[in-house]
Amino acid sequence: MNKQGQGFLTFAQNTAQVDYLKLAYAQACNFRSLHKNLKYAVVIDKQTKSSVTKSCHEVFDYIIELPYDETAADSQWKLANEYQAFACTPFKETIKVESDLLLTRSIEHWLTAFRFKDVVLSTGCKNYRQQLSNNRTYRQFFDDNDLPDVYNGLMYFRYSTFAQKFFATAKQILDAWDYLKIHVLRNCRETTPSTDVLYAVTAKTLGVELCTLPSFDFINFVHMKPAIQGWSSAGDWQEMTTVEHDEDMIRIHNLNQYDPIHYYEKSFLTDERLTHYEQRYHRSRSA
Amino acid sequence: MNKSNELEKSKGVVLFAFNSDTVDYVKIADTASKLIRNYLKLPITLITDNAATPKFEYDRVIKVDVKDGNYRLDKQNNLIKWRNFDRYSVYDLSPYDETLLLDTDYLVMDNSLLRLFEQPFDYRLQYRMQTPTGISEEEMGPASLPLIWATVVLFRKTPKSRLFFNLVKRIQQNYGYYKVLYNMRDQSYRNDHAFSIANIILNGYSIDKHTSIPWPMLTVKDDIKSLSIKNNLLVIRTHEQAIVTIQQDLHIMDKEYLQTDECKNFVKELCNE
Repeated sequence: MNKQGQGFLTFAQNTAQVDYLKLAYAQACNFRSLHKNLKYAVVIDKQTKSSVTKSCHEVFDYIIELPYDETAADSQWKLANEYQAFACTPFKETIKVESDLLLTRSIEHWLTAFRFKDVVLSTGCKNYRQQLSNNRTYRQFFDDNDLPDVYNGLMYFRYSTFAQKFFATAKQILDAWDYLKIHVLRNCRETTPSTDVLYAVTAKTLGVELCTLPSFDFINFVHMKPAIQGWSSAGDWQEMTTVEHDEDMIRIHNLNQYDPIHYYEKSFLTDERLTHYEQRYHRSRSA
Repeated sequence: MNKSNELEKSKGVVLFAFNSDTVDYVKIADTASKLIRNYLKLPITLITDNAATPKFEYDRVIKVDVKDGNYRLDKQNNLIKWRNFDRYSVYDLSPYDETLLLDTDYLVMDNSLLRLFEQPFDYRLQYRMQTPTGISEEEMGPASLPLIWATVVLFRKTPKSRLFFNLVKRIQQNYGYYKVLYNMRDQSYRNDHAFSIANIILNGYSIDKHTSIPWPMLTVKDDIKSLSIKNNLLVIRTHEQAIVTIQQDLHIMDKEYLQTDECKNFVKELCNE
């Protein structure tokens, strides 16, 4: 595929439990209403293709079918294909995001910072108070293995030799996981690695300094996992607080969220919210 | 801000004091005002009700009708009247261009508050409180947002300040709604809460520390046994401990102590009367 321009890329492989295409559709409505100059591409598998509607064709600039689907059909967490982002992306510069992430304002200017590196993984995360989180509840494995505190929820890569090497290395690590988890990594309980872990190990292998921008501490997002907010990790964060929408702004616990929000709980995307983002998209097109 | 006008701007302190069944707030205001005059040398206005008979010579006494209807628990868990409504009216009632609004249980013991008038601001609030054991970061409830203290408030008469006090008024009038929305612990109306919420809303629904008074407010929550000053050191004796710290302003929660002759004598001594 010829690569051109800049844009967002996400993966949407529906499972029995989660309609990831719906999440990606809401995200595309949200992202495109905030970015006139950036396009949006979604990568889907064969199974998800049947769910693509006319509205999807209108909102997504690109709908790309996975060349090689490497996940088991009954898998509920289809992360094994993410290394194919480099091959799948139609863009020269790609901001890859997880589909359960929303924006409240444009991040187009982040490209200026991203361009310092060929690959940039977002580092650390924030709580709803916009403070960098120092909670390590979900990051014990990273600390045990001295891995960089990177998040796959939002990353950047440029069509470049290094980015190609990054994703090829990720694939190699994925293929060698059964060996690595026993003989190399400490306290590894992940049968297959999450993308956060996979990219952290990849960054550690290739050089953390080549894949992160530590001085740009704004390149991250609000992660709504409850322990990051200082709440009990047992429950759903939506039961612990209020959420309001004011045009593109999302107000959580009475505070405006100026950073991207990784809402994490898929039930967050109700039909009412989906309609809200569709309306925002159509309004931005007619403006 | 127009610098040429700065010299002409009037500055002063405003205190609210409405006696309740158990606390003589006017008497406490009289004591606190001696210290204010001694250390800040600013004019003082007392806002009180028609029944009050203040002993201190205030520059101005403004008598208003005060609403009842708020209650709180005292130390013995008895429900007592708390006449703390309408603090927002200070914006209209204050005769000064630049007003320092103080609670009567705040004892001024140095002139550090004067330095705040030199700062650029619409209003300044007390974000941090320090107890003798360290900085205390309180929230309005277990899953709420940070509490700001309305004990010390500095404001200029500007459109933003007017908006701020109008918001406090709206929050007081719809307190039942805001209490639930912000997961507040206390059931009674508290000015601290209303000021905290108004500040968050006015700053774009954000926690903006630019409106903060830059230092923490020293607060003693325990009952006070005695206060004394020795070699510029403030000695605070409670029933449990003695605290020695540099002489500074002090917020005292123990209203009973503030009404005693001992407190009055301590203040007299400080003011060299």
